[in-house]
Amino acid sequence: MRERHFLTAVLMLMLLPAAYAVSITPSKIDIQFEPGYSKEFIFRTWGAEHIAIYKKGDLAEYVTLNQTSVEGKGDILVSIALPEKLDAPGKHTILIGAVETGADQGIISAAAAIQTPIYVMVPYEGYYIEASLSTADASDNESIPFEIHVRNIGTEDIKRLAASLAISALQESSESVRRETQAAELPAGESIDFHVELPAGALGPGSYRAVADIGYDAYSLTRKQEFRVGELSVELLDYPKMLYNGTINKVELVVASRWNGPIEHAYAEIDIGGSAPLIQNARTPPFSLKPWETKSIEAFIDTSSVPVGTYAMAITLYYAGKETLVRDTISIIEKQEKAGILLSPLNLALIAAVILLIIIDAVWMVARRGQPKKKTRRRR
Amino acid sequence: MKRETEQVVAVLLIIGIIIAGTTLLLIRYRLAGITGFAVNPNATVTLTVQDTASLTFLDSSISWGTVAVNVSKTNTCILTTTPGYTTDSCTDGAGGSVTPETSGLAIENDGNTNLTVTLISNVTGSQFIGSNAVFEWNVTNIEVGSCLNATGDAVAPNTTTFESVTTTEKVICYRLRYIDASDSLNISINLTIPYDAPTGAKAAKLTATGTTV
Repeated sequence: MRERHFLTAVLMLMLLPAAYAVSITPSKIDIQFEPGYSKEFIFRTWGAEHIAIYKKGDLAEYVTLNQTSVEGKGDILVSIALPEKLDAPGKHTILIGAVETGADQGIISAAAAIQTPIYVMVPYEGYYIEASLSTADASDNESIPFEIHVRNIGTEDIKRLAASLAISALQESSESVRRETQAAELPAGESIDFHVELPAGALGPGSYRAVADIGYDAYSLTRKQEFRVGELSVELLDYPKMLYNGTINKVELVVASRWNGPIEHAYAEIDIGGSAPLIQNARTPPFSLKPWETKSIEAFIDTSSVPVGTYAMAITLYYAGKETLVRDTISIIEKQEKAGILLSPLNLALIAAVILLIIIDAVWMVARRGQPKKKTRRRR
Repeated sequence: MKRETEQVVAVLLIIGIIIAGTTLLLIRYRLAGITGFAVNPNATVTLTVQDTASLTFLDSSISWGTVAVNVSKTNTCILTTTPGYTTDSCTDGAGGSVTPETSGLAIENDGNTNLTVTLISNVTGSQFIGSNAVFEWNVTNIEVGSCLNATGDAVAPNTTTFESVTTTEKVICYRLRYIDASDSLNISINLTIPYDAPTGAKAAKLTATGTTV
């Protein structure tokens, strides 16, 4: 009997459904609208046993699918035939989707669907651009990259396009650095990227704002982005101010990296007592920090031989050949203060209730033992 | 004879395990594809990797079996997948308890492009079970940092506390990443069945849709 149950259990495990996926390629298409635009695309989908294909979006009426279902895997011919004119300028989205279909399992079943967006950019009448400014944090010994991306989504060609990049510290209004790009032409429907590099050492550690003024013929546009320049430094943000005497205290130090790269094998040491040290080199385990990370580090300090009082404390962080030293005072107090919590009125009442229940139960058991047992008759 | 029958069943069991394991491996690693080798050791191989959008349900069903409400306990039976528990007012209709479902529905981005993920239910709680029923979902990262917000910062997904399912598409993650170490979400379910829910077979379907960002 036990073997049958074992076999049954194993067979049921074998019958569990495998994972189901729905996949599609390509994953994205960009189209620049032209009057009477017409093109065919081949999409491939796979993953589930039964897949339904669909189209969605405000321009879906101009899209034709050669099939609306696929078994296992297959190619779908997607034909796009846009009209001579589309009234609404800007980005339009057509979605080509694949969703798994078939028998549902369980009280609550799930199905996956995947969609490829086809973006159709309809130019704005006249002069119109899309622009973005991107940058990244850097360390003070690195270069800071700036990229200005511009796309002409108007109907007019731009004869002169140029950008001016101004950098200022976040807390200040005056400009620290300015860079100008070379001028370029940008025909309708096309894109261009301006790259600027700036040595971070020219700015120094801190937080900054970059402002790109983009001029295109008689018009202009502004884009902003913030970034940080890091230095090889770890700050101590928080540390203990009080310990109990005569015990091992678990404490937490909160540290923050100001570096734009990882810092490995850092550690902290705690000294208490000043020139007449009572506790020396209480050390944390080694720790690492990711770029700009803030972290809590645990340490254990033994105050067995430290009398109650207030003492000088020095905490030193060691990292990448450098140190950060913080000096303060710390109070060592009597441990008995904490014991008061155990003797609170609520705890005493609960302990008394438990003891009472145990006594009642014991009395009941003893009383039951003393009662004569009832005789039961056996049927022949 | 009985011994021979047991031997046959044992052999079939081993064969079945091998077939099931191989099938799972093939599905997981998609080994049905193109292979090749270079005859000329100095030849150049050119490979174009195409962007692929793909969404997988690693765990695609939740089933508590037969569920009845024991009105002598409380008026409602609550079933959740996070944590996996059922209240003691839920029974299997034959005096036993309902086996908890400890895992929700797990989805994974196994393509090579980030996805915006939406979730939709085909029924509300009252359509699924009956009036006063509660049907909720809760979406969390399985792997840390799987979900990014619209500006690319790591965030918890949009619905980290239980909320009622919707029959219109809801964005649960603006950017579900595709890197292997951070590419999966868990959808937990909270279902409350009132004592006066209409009897009969019940079914609900959740559809998760991924769109390339």
